[in-house]
Amino acid sequence: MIIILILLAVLLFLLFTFYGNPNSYIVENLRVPRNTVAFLCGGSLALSGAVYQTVLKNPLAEPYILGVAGFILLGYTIGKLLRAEEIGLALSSAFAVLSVMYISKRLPPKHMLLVGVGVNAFSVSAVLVLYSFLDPYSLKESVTKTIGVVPYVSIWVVLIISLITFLVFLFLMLRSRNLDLLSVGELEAVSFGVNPSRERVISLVLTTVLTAIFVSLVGLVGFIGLVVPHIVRFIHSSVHSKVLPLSFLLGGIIFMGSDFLARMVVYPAEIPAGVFSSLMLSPLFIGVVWRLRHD
Amino acid sequence: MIEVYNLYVRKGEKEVLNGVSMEVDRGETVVLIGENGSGKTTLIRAITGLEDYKGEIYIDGVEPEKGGKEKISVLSQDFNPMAYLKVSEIIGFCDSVDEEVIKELGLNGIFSSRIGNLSGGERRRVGIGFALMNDRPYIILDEPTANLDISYINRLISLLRRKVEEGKGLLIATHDLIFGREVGDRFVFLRDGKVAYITNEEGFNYACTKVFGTNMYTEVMKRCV
Repeated sequence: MIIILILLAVLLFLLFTFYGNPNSYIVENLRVPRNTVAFLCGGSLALSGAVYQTVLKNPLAEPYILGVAGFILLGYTIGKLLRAEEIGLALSSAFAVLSVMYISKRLPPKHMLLVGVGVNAFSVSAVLVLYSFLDPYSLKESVTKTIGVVPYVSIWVVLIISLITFLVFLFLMLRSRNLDLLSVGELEAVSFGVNPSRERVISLVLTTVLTAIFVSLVGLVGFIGLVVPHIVRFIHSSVHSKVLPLSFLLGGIIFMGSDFLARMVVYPAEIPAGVFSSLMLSPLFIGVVWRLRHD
Repeated sequence: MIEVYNLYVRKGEKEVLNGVSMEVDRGETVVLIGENGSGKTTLIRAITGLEDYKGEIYIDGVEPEKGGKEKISVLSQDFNPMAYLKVSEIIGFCDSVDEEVIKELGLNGIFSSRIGNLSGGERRRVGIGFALMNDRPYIILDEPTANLDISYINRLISLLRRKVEEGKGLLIATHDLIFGREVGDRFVFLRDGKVAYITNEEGFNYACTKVFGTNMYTEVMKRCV
């Protein structure tokens, strides 16, 4: 299954990259970076969702639904209001750590989700207000940020975020057995030398900071983080050494595909990529919630 | 040996454990008995290092946090793994696979089922299997008989006896007096976070009467009639 997905990812990557007019300048400087960002973004969101669901023992947890992503976007926007992308990134990471401090307290699942709804609503409104302070004519940018649009970035940015994503992924893979044991139970994991609260905070901080990078870059992308791990666990396996890489690949493929559609459907104009991922995944989200209705 | 001396655990305003001392040796079964809220689960969580405590806990001379907890295999009171996990995957996380445990607990028939599709009793059997198949010198089971039907309780008793013969130390929390009386070598009665009695079989009924206001035989008779 992993091999098939990797092949599919490469194939789609090539297709989306070289589709249309092959022109080496466009391919190297625009399409490769953009497709890579889309792939890493989708993959990281799915990875974060998988980890959130395990360590919070809440099948509906993911950064977007819990309001973490919205809160991070708010931090980023405040930074941007101060006219500096760097401050935006720093503030979004700070807001990410703040969110981890809150979610690792583990409210009852329902409360946590409802607080997430509140935080999301507040953050999105605040982001729109802040953007209109920034520049009343930038409303379009603010709206696309709240849906998720993949930007064109330089190859250096791509290299840096690829490296960070790879390191986080590697770290989580090395600790996947601890995640397995936590998914069985806290007390059960203890006897294997796992420290549940430390494990929880470490993996939440790593995935949330990863989320912060992509929220700052792309915006709020919903449902990938929630639905993709469910698909993998349902179809294939719940063992984390498989769940993490498969979720990453599948999430990446889905979001890269959404971005492709976003560029192509109303060509030469463009729709935010988040529109298509939500369009595809929110019915599945409803399906997941429906399946869990007895829990 | 698991040694607990003068253990205090406070949760908010309430002193949940109030100076508890007890011990569990290898090759014996100690049964922890008490009403709901008497502190059984808190004591177990403290021994596994999940609860902040005052007092002393040593497992073979080592504090839980310094590695003592890794000598214990535990079944928690609310064993509830993630719904998508398959029984076979959970068994796969164990140190070793014990065919007899799998057979006795009837796990063969549900091997490829997901936790979310199991009944309460089936889930309990998976949890017991997980605790028994990890090769640790001590096994702690919190309410192992919850949701189990009588045929599995009997098989569980014989499995536990075998583990004791292998030289493991067992600590079992239960409020099922009949089951507790049958598996236990020694009995620790908890009341309001204190040890009310520590006794062997001979004092069991006396302690039951004092703690619960009824004894096992009266309860058996009532159920029979």
